[in-house]
Amino acid sequence: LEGQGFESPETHDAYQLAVGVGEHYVVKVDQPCIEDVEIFDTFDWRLLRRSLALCRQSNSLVLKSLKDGTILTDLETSNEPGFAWDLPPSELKERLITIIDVRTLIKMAAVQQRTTPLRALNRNGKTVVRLMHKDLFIPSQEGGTKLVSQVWLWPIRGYARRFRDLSNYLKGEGFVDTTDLDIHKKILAAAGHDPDGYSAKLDVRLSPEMRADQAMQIILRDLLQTMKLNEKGIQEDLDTEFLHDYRVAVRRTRSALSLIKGVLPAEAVASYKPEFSNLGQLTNPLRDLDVYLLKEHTYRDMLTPPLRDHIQPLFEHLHSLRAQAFQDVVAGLNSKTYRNFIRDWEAFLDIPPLAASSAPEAASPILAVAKQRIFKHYRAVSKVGAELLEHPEDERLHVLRIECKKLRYLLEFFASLFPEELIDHLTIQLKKLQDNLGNYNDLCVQIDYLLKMSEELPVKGDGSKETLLSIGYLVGRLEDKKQEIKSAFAKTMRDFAAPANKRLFRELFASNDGGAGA
Amino acid sequence: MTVLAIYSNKGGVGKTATAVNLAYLAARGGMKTLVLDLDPQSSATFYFRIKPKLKRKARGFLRPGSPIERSIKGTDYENLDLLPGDFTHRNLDITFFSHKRSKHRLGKILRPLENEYDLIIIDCLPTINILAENIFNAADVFLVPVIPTTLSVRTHEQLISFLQETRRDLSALRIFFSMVDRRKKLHQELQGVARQEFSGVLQTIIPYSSTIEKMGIERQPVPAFAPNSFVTVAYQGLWDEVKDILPVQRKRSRLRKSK
Repeated sequence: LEGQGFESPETHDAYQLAVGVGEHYVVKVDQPCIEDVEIFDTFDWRLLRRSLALCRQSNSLVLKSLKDGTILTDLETSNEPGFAWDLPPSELKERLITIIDVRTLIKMAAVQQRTTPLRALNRNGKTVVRLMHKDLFIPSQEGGTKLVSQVWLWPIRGYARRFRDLSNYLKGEGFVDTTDLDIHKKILAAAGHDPDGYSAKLDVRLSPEMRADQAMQIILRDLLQTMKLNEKGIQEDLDTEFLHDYRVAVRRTRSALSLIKGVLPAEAVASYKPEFSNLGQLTNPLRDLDVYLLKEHTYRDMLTPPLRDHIQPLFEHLHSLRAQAFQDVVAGLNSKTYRNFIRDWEAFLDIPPLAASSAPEAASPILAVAKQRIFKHYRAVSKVGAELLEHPEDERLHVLRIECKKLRYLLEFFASLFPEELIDHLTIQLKKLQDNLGNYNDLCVQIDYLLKMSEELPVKGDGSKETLLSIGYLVGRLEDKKQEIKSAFAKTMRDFAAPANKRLFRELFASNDGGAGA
Repeated sequence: MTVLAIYSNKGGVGKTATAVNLAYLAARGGMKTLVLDLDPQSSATFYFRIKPKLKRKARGFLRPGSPIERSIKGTDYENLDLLPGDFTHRNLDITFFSHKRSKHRLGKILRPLENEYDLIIIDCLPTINILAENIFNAADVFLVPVIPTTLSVRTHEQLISFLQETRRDLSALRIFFSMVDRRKKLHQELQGVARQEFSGVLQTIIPYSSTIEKMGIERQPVPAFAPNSFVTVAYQGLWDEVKDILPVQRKRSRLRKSK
């Protein structure tokens, strides 16, 4: 039995509602309640994207569905929520971990809610419809400004007709249908948020006939926007995803510049590209350390119990390294060089495309450029992949991983030029292969890193031997995993190279017209 | 879903008050609860201010798969619904008798509600016949209010011999003392006798009280209109005891005939 929500006409308050409904029913008004409500979500709106809301109200955290307003779970706590793993053991914790993962919860808005429950009774004094009048205020020192007034109706089983009557009555009085989602978005908008405004995913709409240089500018501007939006979160060290998303945008930018040559003026590209490499260099150590520290629990669980405590010095060491790496990144982002670079880059992306560009493919339609580049890199992936099925060498696996990445970025840049479901399908196929290669590479890197750390770990007291032993044990476990993943490579590669995928790549991207820039 | 039958083969023992108050406490404790008012006088229905009438097709549970769900009404309390009583229930035994597998008819009718409710409380009518057998087959736990008077205790003896004659296992049967007047010496003596003679006697005693009689005026469960009264405390105690003996998951009725 679902409730129905209405937005009240501006002048209507709980009293008028009671009087109005009172013309048809005996109305009972229950005790009103005033409550402060704070809304939490991650920076990239992971809850809202799933139509969920996490509210903190009267000493508890409540996870609600915005589809029908049902409370999914709640937890009594007076603490402000942050990371899911810091919550006390509860259903809320379990649910949040799968949704927000490593992101932290941020207070997005605060409202004051004044609710008045009412009941419509029939002649026997039996409740036949429940109502709730709800005013939302944006709190301020002057007592707050009203954001919206709502009325909610809930039917009672067996009294559906009464519910319909009241619903129609309200519509006749100028009440407008609304949902929890509408109200939630209204609150966020009033707090200055635009939940559709940020996505770590590339979000550009290109048209096939567009000039290639113009399309490139659109893609690069979107990536720059992502970088800029994450800067603050990196500097405040809220969670590790700000830096991660920032770095992905940097890497995509570098790839765009090197994979799609001949579209933007070569001299400009040559001057900006090294700066993006520098940003990669600047942030590498911090990201690496974030990755290891996020794995702290996984590593600990991999160790046999007697060794578990001895790994502690390693993490202490990593924490102190991270503190330094973080300072370096913050200093870098605040430096004049960086500020100037971003300003210049933005200005460059805003220059309207020149009719007489020095770049040979500047004026080509973007569709032709996209097809040619994607197909070229698809062929490279296929070729290296086929070789590897014959001789799986570590070095060539690395090459294949890089080729896959290039292809993936190209598919992402140009996704809007092709049918969505086909691009999605190919992306999923490619992603499976990338996951295998990526996991393998991660393990190689982790093993090297741990071995390197074991050399530079400061020697303190008698425990260091055990610490080295536990690192050695960990390396052994990771080595086992590495072999496991490697043995799954052949099947993953064959799946990707399946005839159906081959045909689809050919149909979508092979140019029959001799293609521009071939 | 667990089925709890409040049953007595004698009238006026506080059956309906027990059904209504226990249902209220169960629902308040978070169990999705349905009261099934099988009494043709529909007292439980009256207490909840609901009209004692079923939808035409559900009358007398006549048809197989008859849509009793559509006759269910929400009460004024969260988690608590009611299937109203109906005057046609006076013929329920005849109705059931005319069906195939007539002794299992009620269980079959309740089956569609299995996923919707945690607890179904049946307010039975005072009879020992085919309807009672239906209730025995459908219920997981049987709760019998007994007034500590000679007649009441005798009636309970009759019930037990009936159950033994029909070779039923008595382990799901519980009795408790209802409408107990602490001032009456006889009440106290008989309680002692009964506790020795019968097994499954619960500790809680529901006293005789005008507060319970007020349910008819207030038309609400006692804990709703008199939350601080000693009767509320008594019913809460009774519910706590009953809750502990309810099977966690629905099992086949233990009052089935033992072979």
